[in-house]
Amino acid sequence: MNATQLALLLAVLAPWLALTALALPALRRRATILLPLAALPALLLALAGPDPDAGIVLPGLLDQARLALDGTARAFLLPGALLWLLAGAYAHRHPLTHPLRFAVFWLLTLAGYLLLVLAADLLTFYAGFALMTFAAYGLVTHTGGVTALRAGRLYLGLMLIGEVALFTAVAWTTMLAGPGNSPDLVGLGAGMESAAALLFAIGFGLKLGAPGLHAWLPRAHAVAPVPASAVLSGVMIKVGALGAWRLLEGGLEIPGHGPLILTALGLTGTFYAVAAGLRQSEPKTILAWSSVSQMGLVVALLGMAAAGTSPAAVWAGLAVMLAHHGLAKGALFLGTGLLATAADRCTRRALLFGLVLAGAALAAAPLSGGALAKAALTTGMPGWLAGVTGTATALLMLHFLRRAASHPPEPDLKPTTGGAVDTRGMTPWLLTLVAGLLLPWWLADTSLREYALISTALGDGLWPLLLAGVLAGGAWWLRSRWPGIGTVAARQPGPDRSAPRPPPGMARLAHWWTLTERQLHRWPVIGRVATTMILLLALALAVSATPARFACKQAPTDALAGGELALGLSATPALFACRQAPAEVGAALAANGRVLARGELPGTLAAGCSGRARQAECAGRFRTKAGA
Amino acid sequence: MSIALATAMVVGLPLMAAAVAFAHPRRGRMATLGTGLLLLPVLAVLVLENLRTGPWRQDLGGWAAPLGIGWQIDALALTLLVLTTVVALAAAIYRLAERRLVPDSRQRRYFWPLWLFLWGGLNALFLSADLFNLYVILEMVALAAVALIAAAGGPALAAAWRYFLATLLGSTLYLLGVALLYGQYGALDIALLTGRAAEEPVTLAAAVMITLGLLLKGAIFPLHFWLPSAHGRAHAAVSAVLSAVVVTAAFYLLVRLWFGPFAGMLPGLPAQLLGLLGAAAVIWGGVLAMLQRHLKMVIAYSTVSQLGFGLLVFPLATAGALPDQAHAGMLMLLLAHGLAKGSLFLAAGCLAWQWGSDHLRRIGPPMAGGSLLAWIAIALAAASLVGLPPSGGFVAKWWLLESALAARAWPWAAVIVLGTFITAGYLWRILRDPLRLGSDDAAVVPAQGQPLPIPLAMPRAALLLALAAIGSGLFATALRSAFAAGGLAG
Amino acid sequence: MTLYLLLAIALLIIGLHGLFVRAQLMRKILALNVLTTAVFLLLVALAHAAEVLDPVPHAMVLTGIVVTVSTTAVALGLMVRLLEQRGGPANGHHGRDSRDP
Repeated sequence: MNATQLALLLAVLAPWLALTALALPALRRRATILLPLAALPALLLALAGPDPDAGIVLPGLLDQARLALDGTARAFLLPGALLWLLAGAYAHRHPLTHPLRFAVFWLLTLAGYLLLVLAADLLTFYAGFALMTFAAYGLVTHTGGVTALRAGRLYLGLMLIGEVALFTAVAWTTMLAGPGNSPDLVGLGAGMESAAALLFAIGFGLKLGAPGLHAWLPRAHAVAPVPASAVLSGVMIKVGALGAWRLLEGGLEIPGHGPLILTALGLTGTFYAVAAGLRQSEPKTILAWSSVSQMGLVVALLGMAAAGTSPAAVWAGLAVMLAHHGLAKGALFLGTGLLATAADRCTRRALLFGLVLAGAALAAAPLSGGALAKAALTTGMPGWLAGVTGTATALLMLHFLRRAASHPPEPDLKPTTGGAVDTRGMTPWLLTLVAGLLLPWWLADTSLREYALISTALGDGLWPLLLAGVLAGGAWWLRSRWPGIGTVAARQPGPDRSAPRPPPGMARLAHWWTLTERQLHRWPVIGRVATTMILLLALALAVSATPARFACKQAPTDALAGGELALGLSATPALFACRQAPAEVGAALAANGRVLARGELPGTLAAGCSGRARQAECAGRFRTKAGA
Repeated sequence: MSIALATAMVVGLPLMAAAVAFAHPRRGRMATLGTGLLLLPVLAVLVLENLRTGPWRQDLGGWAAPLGIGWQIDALALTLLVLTTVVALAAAIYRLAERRLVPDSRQRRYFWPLWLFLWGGLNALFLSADLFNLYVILEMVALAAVALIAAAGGPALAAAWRYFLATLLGSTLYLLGVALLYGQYGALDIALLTGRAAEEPVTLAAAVMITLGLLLKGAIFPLHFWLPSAHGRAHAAVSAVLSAVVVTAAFYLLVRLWFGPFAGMLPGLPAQLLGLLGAAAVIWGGVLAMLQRHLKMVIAYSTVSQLGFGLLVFPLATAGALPDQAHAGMLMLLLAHGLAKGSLFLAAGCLAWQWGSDHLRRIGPPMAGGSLLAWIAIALAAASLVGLPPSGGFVAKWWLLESALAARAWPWAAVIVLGTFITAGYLWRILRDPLRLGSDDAAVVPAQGQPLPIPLAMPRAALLLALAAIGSGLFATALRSAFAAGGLAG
Repeated sequence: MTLYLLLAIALLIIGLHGLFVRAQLMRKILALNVLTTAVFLLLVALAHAAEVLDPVPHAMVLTGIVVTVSTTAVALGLMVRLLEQRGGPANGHHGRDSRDP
């Protein structure tokens, strides 16, 4: 085993080791200190660079679980592990309701994430995916408030749908690849059936918060603790993009206008999410909507990749985009958390300045990571369209900054230790911000870098921001002239809009169900049920018995033979003298078929054979056979 | 160790231990633990032999089939034997620890003999290849199970009575079928009958009777009337063994017979009908599990629902596309379900002890001082039941779904998918309240104060089974090849 | 031969009817006994039908009788416990007390 393989194993096992370490009572009291450490091996592995040849096989586990770090995995792992580490460090400083519980769910989520990113085969990927998805429920509902629980329930419900869709798709794929075998992720998409691809799309789309499947995202992100929101938005939702990327890279072909529709859908989602986010006032919710908007862009990029227009450039752009968005969004979330606890003016200013930088980067300001991502975007769509998306994001960011700046520090989040608390978590936040600004440049290839640095690109990058500034200024001016314009009447969320209110028919259905079940427990009913089952079984057996046996062409002839015998029970005793066998079937049918009146048997007969002559023929042949 | 001796020990050890425990009640505890610990290496020997040589048959006393009684040892039998041993051992550990909590009583004296008797009966059931011998064993298992249910006293007596009537009726119907088969073919051995049985009205009638009897014993919808109350009211350890193995045993016989002597009659409508019953069981039992208010009742109804998945093997294996995968999936389902269900019942017993009731609203969250281990066991077992990778339940559903998709049998695939949602629904009922850990919701906080302390071995036994349920999925491929080498039914 | 078979069928019907329709515990036990008797009758009739008298069904019936005796004993014991639990007299017939749970 060489060094890379060892590092690979260590990276995947680190969260589990941390979980085991929690068995020590001393560590249990300061559990969150393990959070950044658990992501460290993965970060080091990602920094070392991709080495697809140095994969490892875990023999016997699942179907020979395979781990490897290829280029695609690294594109996700490097920013991902970095954000996990920094957000973990932040979580260590952040006031949490139950640090130990948070740490356990965090480590489980991280374990799932690392497993799925480093997986080289489908089953391992899926196992990590499921672990991450369901462990994250504990992060979403950490505060335990009513809103958090509701959001958690929505999250869990939608994720379950996504999980089942994925499960079906996985079973489909493995079935085609050889039942019980787990195919390699590389080259997985080639020749995939479109139904399986659609199921994969549902699963990944739900995770990604793709337009139309994003319902859970704003609500879950708004209620989770700040560091959890940061990784949810910055890392976890992108796993859906990883899955889609694996499929498309592996040769999945979307038929017809699929790619175009995908791109259009993504762009529509981008603008819709901005419009939705502008109506929100909670800073974290605005950020969550911004994530939905950005994921719309990711979907658009995936559509472009599927269309096959310069895929290499699109992949490169996507990698930059994911890194840049993950870290910038992480910085925004962490900064919002700090801002909510910071009361000191100076600190608040510094924080706001950092948030402006991160927001500008998201809005694709020149020289930022966003500009690089936009450069990739322009390979497949007109420049002005890419610019307008920048304008939309900038508008949303301005709205966010305004709300964040005016948002008073939350009293309940303020730690009681007083004094120096304002700077808690500053370091991880600063590091995230700096990484978010620099890492995209490091990841981008030279052509993208050059493209983003030429003067026209700088100009192209500037006008969307200016437009956004003009629009925002205009809105502000209008608002100050005519107060009330453009303000949406605060919609009463209504106490029951998301309350656990089952549909009206449900209670009645449940009542009916319970009553019927109670009936099924009564002995006379059991008797009837058992008799019916005997008849059903006998009929099924008789109908499906091979017609050849009784030399009657139609399928239901066996029923006929049985029925004829039951009839003959009283009519032809001679038949039974030769052999007891036929009598038994008659006995069985007659004895247990109490419900079935004798008169019904001829009915069965008539159904089985059309003519009377035919019946006689059947019965006759059976008799000879039985006699023989 | 000679293989014949090892096979004999599988049945002989528990029965002898039962005799010892009956004669010397003080030795009951030692006899039970000793049996479990001795059976493990014995089964290991058998499994290794099975992997080496494939399935084999052993005639008792050297008498060949038409006259003597035979035992068959294959992957199906061995898997269920291992399941029985593991669950019975864990439940026995739980029960031994639990006894520190209850004062001595008269019934205590007969608990271990009955327990061992049940154990030996189950082991014999999985080995025997003789239909009449199986009848006697079925009765033996039924009597021991009824007595163990009744040992809980109170409302469990009525439940035991219902179970008793249902299972006796089932045995009688089964015997009727056996009599018909013997009258026609003059043989009782399953292997012999497989060769001789033809599609004749008598075989048909026998198949109907035997199937109905076993459906009753296996609590397959709509004949599940006895199961929820019996499993919900018995002692947790008894419920664990009943739900994990005893019901499975009836299902096992169904599989043995339908893929043995009756195999010729299965394709077509009968298989579809059995599958339909399974689908109905999955939905009916699952919805009722969602509607229960008591933890143990939820788990009991879940048994009704989960066995329905097993019945899907009949249509899927006869569909022809991937029959081996369907068989392997069914076997994996029995294994994973048994382990997870045993764990759930034991964990539910722990919580019921701690909080004085197993009402879902009375059980406090783990942070309220209850046993965290029990909750972890429940969470892990639930993950396996619902089919989260890489648990055993996942692998079972995965294989079944593969087989359904390969056969393009969309309705059965839909049942598996729908069943997953329903399973998630009722497990959510169990896990919902403990997951709202920091909640100030008053409805969740149990009425009474601090939970009772319980011996640590109780939740540990539950956790052991839950870990086994997860672990059985982790080594799925190894198990799959072991099934193939050991000879799957069919 | 036919007579025995018809008799077995009749007993089967009586047994099933008693088990499902009668509510008293004692009658259910008796119904089960009648049911098993029907099966034994069938077995004996089968043994008689073979050309050479077949001893196996006889052995089966003997074993079956032993099994039935023990199950009946357990059933009676359980019934007594049930009736005791309800506070009624343990004689098992008449009255609402002996109704099926």
